[in-house]
Amino acid sequence: MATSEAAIKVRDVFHRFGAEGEQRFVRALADTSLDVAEGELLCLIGPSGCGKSTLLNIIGGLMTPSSGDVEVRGQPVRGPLPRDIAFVFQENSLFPWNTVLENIELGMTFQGVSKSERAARAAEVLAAVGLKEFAHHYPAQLSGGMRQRAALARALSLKTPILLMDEPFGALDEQTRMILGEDLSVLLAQSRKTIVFVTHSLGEAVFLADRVAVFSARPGSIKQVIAVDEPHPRRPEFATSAKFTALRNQLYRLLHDEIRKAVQQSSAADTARAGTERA
Amino acid sequence: MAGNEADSPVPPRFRAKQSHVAAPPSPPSCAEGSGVEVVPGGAFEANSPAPPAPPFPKKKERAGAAAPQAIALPRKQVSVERAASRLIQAGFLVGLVAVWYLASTRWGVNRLLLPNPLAVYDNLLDILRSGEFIDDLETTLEELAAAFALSATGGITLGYLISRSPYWIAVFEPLFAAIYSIPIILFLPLFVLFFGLGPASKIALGAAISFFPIVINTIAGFGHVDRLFVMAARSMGASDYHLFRHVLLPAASPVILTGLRMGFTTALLSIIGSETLASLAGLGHRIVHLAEAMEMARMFAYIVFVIAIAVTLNTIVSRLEARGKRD
Ligand SMILES: Nc1ncnc2c1ncn2[C@@H]1O[C@H](COP(=O)(O)OP(=O)(O)O)[C@@H](O)[C@H]1O
Ligand SMILES: [Mg+2]
Repeated sequence: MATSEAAIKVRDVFHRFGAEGEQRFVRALADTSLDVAEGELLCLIGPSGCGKSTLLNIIGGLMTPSSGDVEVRGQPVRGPLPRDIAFVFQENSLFPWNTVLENIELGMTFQGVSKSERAARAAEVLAAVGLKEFAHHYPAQLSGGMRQRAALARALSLKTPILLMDEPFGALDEQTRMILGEDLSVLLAQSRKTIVFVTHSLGEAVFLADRVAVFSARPGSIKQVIAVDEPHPRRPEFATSAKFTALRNQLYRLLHDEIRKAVQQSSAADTARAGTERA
Repeated sequence: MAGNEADSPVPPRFRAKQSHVAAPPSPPSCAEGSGVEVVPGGAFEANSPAPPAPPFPKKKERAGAAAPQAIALPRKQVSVERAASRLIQAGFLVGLVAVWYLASTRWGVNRLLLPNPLAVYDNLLDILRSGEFIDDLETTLEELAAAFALSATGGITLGYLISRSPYWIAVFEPLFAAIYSIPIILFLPLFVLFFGLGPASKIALGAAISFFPIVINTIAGFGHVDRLFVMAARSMGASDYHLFRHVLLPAASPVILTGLRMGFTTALLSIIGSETLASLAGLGHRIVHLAEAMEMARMFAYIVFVIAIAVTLNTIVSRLEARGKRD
């Protein structure tokens, strides 16, 4: 990578929701440390409920961790960093009362971008994600895949060096997701952004990432980091290569035990809850 | 009484209104798509533009947008059904007047109890021509305007402040819902003692009664904005003002508009109702006055007049609500 300086540094971050003894008390993240290099695409993968979204929100300054430190481009994170970090959320984060174009321009309005500059950048990102014809449609008039491309366009328009993506294609079907993944790889290879990408798809992680961080079951922490040594943009053929399959299988073995643990956890929690309700 | 909605008469009404949030005509969070991915041209390669968009339905038809083509035919049936139901409704009203006419002319119901509809019609024309209704109408409308202005500003302001804290929402939402379910008009004697027989007591009562639907819907509107919208706005650098103007307000306004419409209607009903019970002027006062003077035909003419005014006002307010939600 271009510089050795990490774009994102996460040090011993611990996070819990609620206080001990409360019903909603959850240890969401345990002692997580992580570096993301400038220009790198890092995928986070792990059982659902292990704290991936929590970590992403903490990195982006949308949540304050119970303990631990996060630095973004050398500065400690104290709150949202709209000039450095843009988010793409799982789904439906576009404002339904605004058109696609209005949604894209609104983020820039928040940051005081001039009107002409807003229009120029909006046209640029809409073209980049292939939604030019849909600028004046409302999110409800778009398919799920188109909505996520619009959300990506909104994030790109902010021209931040860092992009945090929380299962952006998680609600889409496998085929659409594959196509969007390929296109994303092309798009991002040109932009040289630093990206943290949460996914629950093994294939998506191997296909997109420079490195994949595997989470343990809750309370989540990083169990292992796997490097995917393959230049961007990734070709569709990569998805059928032996290297891809080997990496995917390696991820599967690492994840398998953690997912079993997570499933047992949640069924144990269900039993406990049923028990208290009966009592 | 708070959490248990099943045995309280109010929350169902309230819930029914809340459903407006998800319903057209406003663009909000409806339509999860049909689940079928329609990516034009498949990919979004940066250099190959998507083919021309399919002609998209305009706003009004959006509800049907997700439905497959095959359901196009029943739409005709729907309009036929609607025409039929209008016809039945009109027929019902005509039938009612016919029964009224027969009862007062043929079936020997006492004129003092039930005047001839033709006499009522003559009286109505006389009232309109002479303009004698103007003073009473003015009194009632002024009371209504003052009461609604008070409850709308008070309800929206207080509702917004309460909605800023989950704790205050948990305290006040069930409390207001419970108060909303009791007939506040029972306290009319108290209002008269405090504010006198004049317009002040009607304004106070109308404001008190219409305050509750407005404050409840304002809390619901501002208090249950999707957290994801707030996070998305904050992550893009929204200030408190931006958040209010571009996220909270548009998210909440459909529900608040419904609350305002409900508040307006309840204010109108309670003001006219309280005028009939204890007052010095106003349309309700006039009706009771005529009843006591046994001028039944004229009293019925005033009732018809009041119904016409009420229907007109409610139609206007509903139209405003729909228009507000569309923009
Ligand atoms: N606001 C919250 N209040 C209480 N618990 C929460 C909250 N957000 C997340 N959690 C809990 O914290 C854990 C981690 O959540 P999350 O980070 O969303 O997991 P993931 O994104 O990996 O699926 C889950 O058990 C979830 O239920
Ligand atoms: Mg998540």
